[in-house]
Amino acid sequence: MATFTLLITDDPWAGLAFAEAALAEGHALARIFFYGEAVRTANGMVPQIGDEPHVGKAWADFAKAQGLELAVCVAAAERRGILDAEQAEEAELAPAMAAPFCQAGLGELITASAASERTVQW
Amino acid sequence: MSTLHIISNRQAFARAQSLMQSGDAVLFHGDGCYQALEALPSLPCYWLQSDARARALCSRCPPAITAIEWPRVVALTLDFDNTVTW
Repeated sequence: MATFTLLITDDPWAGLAFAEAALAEGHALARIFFYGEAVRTANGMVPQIGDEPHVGKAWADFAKAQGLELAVCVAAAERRGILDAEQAEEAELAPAMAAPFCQAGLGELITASAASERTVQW
Repeated sequence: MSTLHIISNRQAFARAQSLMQSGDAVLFHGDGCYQALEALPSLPCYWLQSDARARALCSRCPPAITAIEWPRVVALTLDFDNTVTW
C-alpha cells in the first residue's frame, strides 16, 4: 500500500488510467495536480463533441466517484483563461472551472509529493 | 538510485537514452510504442499493451519487450527508486 502524487502535464488520459489502476490496486492518491497544457482538462467551457471521449468529464466523474479534489495550477490556468467563479467575478470574465477542479499553488504539489512514496508524471 | 524511464514519444527516448543506467528500466506508452520497434537499450523494457494494440503493433512486439497493462505499471513505479517522464 503506497501513496502517490500524480503530476499531469501532457497526457491526461494516461494519468487517469494510472490513477484508476493505483486505487484498484489498493494504493492511495495524495494529490492530483494539473500543470502546463494539461490544465485545459479543467476547462468546463469545452462541450461534449458528438461521441468523442471528453477528458475533462472523465476526470471529473472519476474524482467525484472517489471523493477526490483535482488541483490545477492557478497561474497556468489563468494564463489560458480558465478561471473559477471567484476569479472570474474579480476579472469580470466568464468562469470556466468548477469542482472537483480547484485552483492550487505549486506549494501544494511539493507538500503532497513530500508525503508520497512516489510522484509520477503523465 | 534506479529509475523507471517513461517514454511517450521518439523525442523523449532521444533525451533519455544517454542517461539510462544499469539497474534502470524503460516503459513505452502512447506513441512511444513506435520507438520500441527500433533500437532498444540493454535494460528491461516494457510497453503498454493497450496502447500498442491501439496502434496495431501487438503482432510486431519485439522479443525484448514485456507487454503489460496499467496495474503492472503501478507496481513498476514502486519497484524503482524513482520515475522520470521524459
